[in-house]
Amino acid sequence: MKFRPKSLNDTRDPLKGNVNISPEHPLKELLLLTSGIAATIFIIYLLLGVAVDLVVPHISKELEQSIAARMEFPVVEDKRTPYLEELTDELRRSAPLDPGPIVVGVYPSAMANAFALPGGRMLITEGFLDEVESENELAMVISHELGHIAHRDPLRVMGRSLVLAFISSLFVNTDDSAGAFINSSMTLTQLGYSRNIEERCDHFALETISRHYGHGGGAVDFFKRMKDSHTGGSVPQFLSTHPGDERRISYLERQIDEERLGWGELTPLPEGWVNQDDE
Amino acid sequence: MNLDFIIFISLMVLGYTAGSLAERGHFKSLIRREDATMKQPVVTFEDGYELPAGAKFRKSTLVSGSVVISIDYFKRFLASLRFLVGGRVGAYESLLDRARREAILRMKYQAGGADIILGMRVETSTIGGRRKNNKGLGSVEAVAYGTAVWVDEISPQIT
Repeated sequence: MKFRPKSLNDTRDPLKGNVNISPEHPLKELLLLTSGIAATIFIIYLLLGVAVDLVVPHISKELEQSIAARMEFPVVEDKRTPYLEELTDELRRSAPLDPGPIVVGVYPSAMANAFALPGGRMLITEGFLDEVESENELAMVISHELGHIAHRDPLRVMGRSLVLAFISSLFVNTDDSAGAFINSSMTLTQLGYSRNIEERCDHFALETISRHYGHGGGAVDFFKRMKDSHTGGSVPQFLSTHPGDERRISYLERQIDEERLGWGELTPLPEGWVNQDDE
Repeated sequence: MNLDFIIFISLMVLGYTAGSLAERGHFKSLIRREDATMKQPVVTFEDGYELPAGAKFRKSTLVSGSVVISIDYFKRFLASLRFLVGGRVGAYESLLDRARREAILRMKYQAGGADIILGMRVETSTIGGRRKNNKGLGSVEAVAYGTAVWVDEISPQIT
């Protein structure tokens, strides 16, 4: 047999006729893989989220307490705490669904905010207490958090966060760049979930204060002031966990009108409300 | 938009553009040099090479060629997604193809004018690669080796 050299290459298209390389374009492969994996993760996340919602009602108060006992409850001494405890207890009795016994604490932060935690615990920031102008406003926010506790949302949120952490840890082990991509795509879903909860709690709060005071006055005052204070760069609706101030205010005002709750006189806060050292 | 995400996208774009350009250039160069060295016969068998009557081995020696090629960020990301679902890792196929062909070419250059290279083998291995924090970029090494043979007074012929 005579040796006859023959080139198998095509100089115009270097990959043509190369049986060792898959013909698929890498960008097409990237698109298919990312969309397929993202869709799968999303479905897993939704299913596990539903599982959390199914499990939460079966978690006993005792178990919830023992979970909560492991979590830190960072509160500061504040002369307003006894008043907050008393008001919370009164509101609890007007709530459409009993949230159970509540422990209230003042959280050292200048940001105006309030949080509900597992085990019937509620944190109200110093910043919020200094900002508030009537008892009705304060009651609205406390009742909103009572709504979270009555619906056991802190447990739900904790469960969802666990699911999220679990899924992302799976992928972080495979490869961290893929993990980072998966994590960032899941955050938006988490926010959308929270927003529905917030609207439900606003409704819960409105019902509570209108039963307690006999009218819906003061329900939107605080949110209105918040809206005016940050008219600058506002966060787009889909990036925020709470309904936008505007949307929230119009929702509450519509509810007050529809249910004929009325706008009664506001109850003032006790004397010497704002801490002296804050002045 | 957080910083990590911006860095990630930039690295992907950089990896894809630089990687594709380098790959395209390499394939062109491979084809040109393969065609130029086409007359250097290389076979994988070790025995069965019989000398025509009257001819005899003048010299034989081990020749080898090796190359190390790195993957780029884009290829690694594509492959890491592929690891989740399985299937052909297209991103690595072209890389290995380039490495094998380059190694064979370099082996031919080392043989420089031998009548034939017998018993050619190609091996690949990974270099560098995954560190503990999973941040390492892997490289592939391909080694081609064989026995270069010079024959007296005959033109290369396989019987």
